[in-house]
Amino acid sequence: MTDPATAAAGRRRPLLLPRSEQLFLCLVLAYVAVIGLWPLLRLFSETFTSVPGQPLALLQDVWSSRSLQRALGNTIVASAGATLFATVIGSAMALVIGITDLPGKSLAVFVFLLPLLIPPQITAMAWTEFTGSNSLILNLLHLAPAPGSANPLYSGYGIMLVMGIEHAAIVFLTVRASLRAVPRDLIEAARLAGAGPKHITRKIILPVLRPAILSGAALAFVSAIGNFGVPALLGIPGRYPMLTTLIYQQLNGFGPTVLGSVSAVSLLLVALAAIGLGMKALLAAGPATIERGAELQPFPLGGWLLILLPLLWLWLGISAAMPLLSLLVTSFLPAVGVPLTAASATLDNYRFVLLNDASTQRAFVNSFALAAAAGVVSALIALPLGYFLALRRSRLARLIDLLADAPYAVPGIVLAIGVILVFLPPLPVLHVSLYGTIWIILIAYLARSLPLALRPTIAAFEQLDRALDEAGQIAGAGLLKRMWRILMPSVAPSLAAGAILVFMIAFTELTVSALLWSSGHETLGVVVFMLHGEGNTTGAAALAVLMITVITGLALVMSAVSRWLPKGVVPWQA
Amino acid sequence: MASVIATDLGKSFGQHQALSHINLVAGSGEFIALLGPSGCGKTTLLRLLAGFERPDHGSIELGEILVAGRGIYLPPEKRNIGMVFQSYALWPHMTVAENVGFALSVRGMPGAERRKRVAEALELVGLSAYAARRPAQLSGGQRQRVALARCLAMRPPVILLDEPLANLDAHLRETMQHEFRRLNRELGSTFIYVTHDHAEAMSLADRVLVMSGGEVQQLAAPVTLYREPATRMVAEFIGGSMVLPVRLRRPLDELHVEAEVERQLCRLRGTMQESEAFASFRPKDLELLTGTAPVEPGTVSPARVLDVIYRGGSYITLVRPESADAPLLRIATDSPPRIGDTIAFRIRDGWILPPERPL
Repeated sequence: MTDPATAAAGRRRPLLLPRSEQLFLCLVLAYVAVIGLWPLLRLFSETFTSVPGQPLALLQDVWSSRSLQRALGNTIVASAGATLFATVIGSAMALVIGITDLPGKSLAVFVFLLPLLIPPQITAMAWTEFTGSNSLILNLLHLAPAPGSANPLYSGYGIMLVMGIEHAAIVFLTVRASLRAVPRDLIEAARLAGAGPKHITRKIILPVLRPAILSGAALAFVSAIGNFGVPALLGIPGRYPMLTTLIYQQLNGFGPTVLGSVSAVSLLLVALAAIGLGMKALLAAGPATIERGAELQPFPLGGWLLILLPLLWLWLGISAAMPLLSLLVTSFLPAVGVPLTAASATLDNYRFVLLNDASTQRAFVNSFALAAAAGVVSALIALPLGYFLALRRSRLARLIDLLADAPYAVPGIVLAIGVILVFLPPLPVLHVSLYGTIWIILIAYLARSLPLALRPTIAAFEQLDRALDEAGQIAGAGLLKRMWRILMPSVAPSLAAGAILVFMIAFTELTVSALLWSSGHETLGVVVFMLHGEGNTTGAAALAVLMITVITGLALVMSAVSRWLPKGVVPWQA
Repeated sequence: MASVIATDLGKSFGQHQALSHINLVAGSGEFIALLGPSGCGKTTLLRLLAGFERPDHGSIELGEILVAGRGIYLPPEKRNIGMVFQSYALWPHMTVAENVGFALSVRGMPGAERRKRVAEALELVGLSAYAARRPAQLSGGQRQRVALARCLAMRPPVILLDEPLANLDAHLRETMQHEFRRLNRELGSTFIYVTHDHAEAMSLADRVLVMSGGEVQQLAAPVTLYREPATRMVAEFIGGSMVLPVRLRRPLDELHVEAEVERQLCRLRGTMQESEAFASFRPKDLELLTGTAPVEPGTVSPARVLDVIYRGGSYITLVRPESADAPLLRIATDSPPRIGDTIAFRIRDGWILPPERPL
């Protein structure tokens, strides 16, 4: 007997791809293998084969080091603390936004998700300006620490606080996505049964959201262990080493000679990330919810509004606005410690970073070129890959997708070490080493950015009628012609969105370039970090403000055009 | 000259056998409808002809060129066929003229000649005034015409149509059916038309290929399908015949057989075969006797009226014959009998189904 459902499913089955298309996909596979897989595999082989005949020797050696044990302990403790904090804040925010009739949600969500746009080291810098003894805002409130005393954030607790606030955005996004998929009938059935909003929230919504909350927490944990910016700015001065900062300081101090032992350390990071991702996979296997068209009817807050609204904005003010404001204030100071007045305010710092400092100017050019190249190339790879994945359901494309995720799933610093291992020796035919050139940074950026560009592209292709492509085939157009004249115009908005997302991340990136940069090939992230490290806090603040301006500008452009994009492509949309 | 030859086609998706032993020879300029319930394999057959799927078995020739089978597979872009999709599949980023001219520009046709061909194609479907519009600015019927024009501009020898009228309202559908007939006559292209609507298939096609469960049930002209269905499935699917067991008694002439149905003797069309057989009856083959005129015994059967349904112009009366475990029968009547009455009916015509083919 013919079952219509299986027949319909049959029509969406993968086709056997013609040979020319197979070849095309194999080129994409080669690209993913060289820029992403090879470095990661090289990392494993380096760790297990550097002492001939004793595969575990290096691991044992590293394991017995006291500094490593301390860094590992700190990483676990600080990441766990940050995750707990992020989970509470992120879930609460998702609930408030998702199920109440709070006014001004869009703005609140945008402010709450700002940490997604601002790189971690700038967030950390802004916080140190906010809480330091020179803090203009805290001095106004007579709450600032005594002059000369250490910044209270230079500690494990400081790292937990700042990372927690930063990663709350991740938990928020996961929980909100799940909240949107809660079937409306569940709520309406409970209402008919006579349950009030509080009862429904406690007995129905929260239990349904539990897998999402836990999986958001797992993601926050993975982000925390791989975070470099926050531990670098808070942990290094606070003498609170973590795994990422340990790797950085070792490589920075001793150079490529310690590559073997830092490879072993980075495998610990991979193991921790794998534990986090494994937990997420386990938790995500909870009861499946089905997406329904109707949105959840928000509960009226009534009198609670008068308490909740000021509370929410007070929190958003402290967690997002105050640090950024402090950063802005610092960028106008002639020197750290001088109070800001109409007379003392100066644009010298901006003049310095834009006009006087050669390395900053180079960094602007480098970061712009790197981010633009990463965005454009990743979008160009995402176009055929997304097409074969979503429209043609090719198995080979699915494999490539999985492989492409690997360099994105591991902490950035791990990938950077792998890239050094692979590209430090001279290239086989050309006999040139890419180490010490800008190309090595580009390779790492490309490896990290493909999944970012791929998601929006897949979303667009999933909404596309497959017949549009088939009509092109009927018209006699081959694969390349269809790519150029039919598929690219059809998914162009999402392709551009993917490229811009990549640009925004790469433009301010620090973790990868901190290990790969060389004199003359600085990135903006590195220069901010260096300026801050040299004590030129005001210059660093000015540069950070400029970077935030660029990023926020791009974010606003994307928000403005988001109605032409598939839902979920712009992460910070309410 | 044959323009489409499919020989012994087979296709399965995993465990699911979507098509088996499909044979089809379409003459040049012929209008063939592929008809069957959803899931019968008609769309799979169309996609095999287009080249979106590869047959597991058998071969396809288009215009005497082998395009699939015997180790050969020509992708859709090399087959020079036209196709109208159910969703129309108009490219939203191109204007109407660009949509229609795309295939020509892919073939490298110079601009002036291309514009002339596009204008001709739009003229054919009556959309000359809409060349500069985008698909989003058109109504459903206009989009349908653009999809058709896009396919006509290529002047393909074979045009595939995948339920092209499924998304149109009843009135528009009828207009477009006339258009399809006219274009088929004027252009001389072979049309292969997928539909699940038997009325549409019967009114459009020169011949109809009825499919069920991935197999051919019958390939014949509409009149033949209607009067002489080859299988029980065709009889029931086309116009809703009733299939009843009959006992054949003796041949009356070359075309008729005397048979016993529901305890009455009647004359059926068909050939003599084994005595236990099946025959198909339409509601108007049965006659409700209302008068009190005397009837020859053994030529009528009594039945009870269960329901009466008005079907524009006539009534369908649902009756249960009084014999044991008799099936429900539908009888076309001009005036409605009273529900619950006992009436008599006579069988005037019927078609004896040929014996089941061994598979």
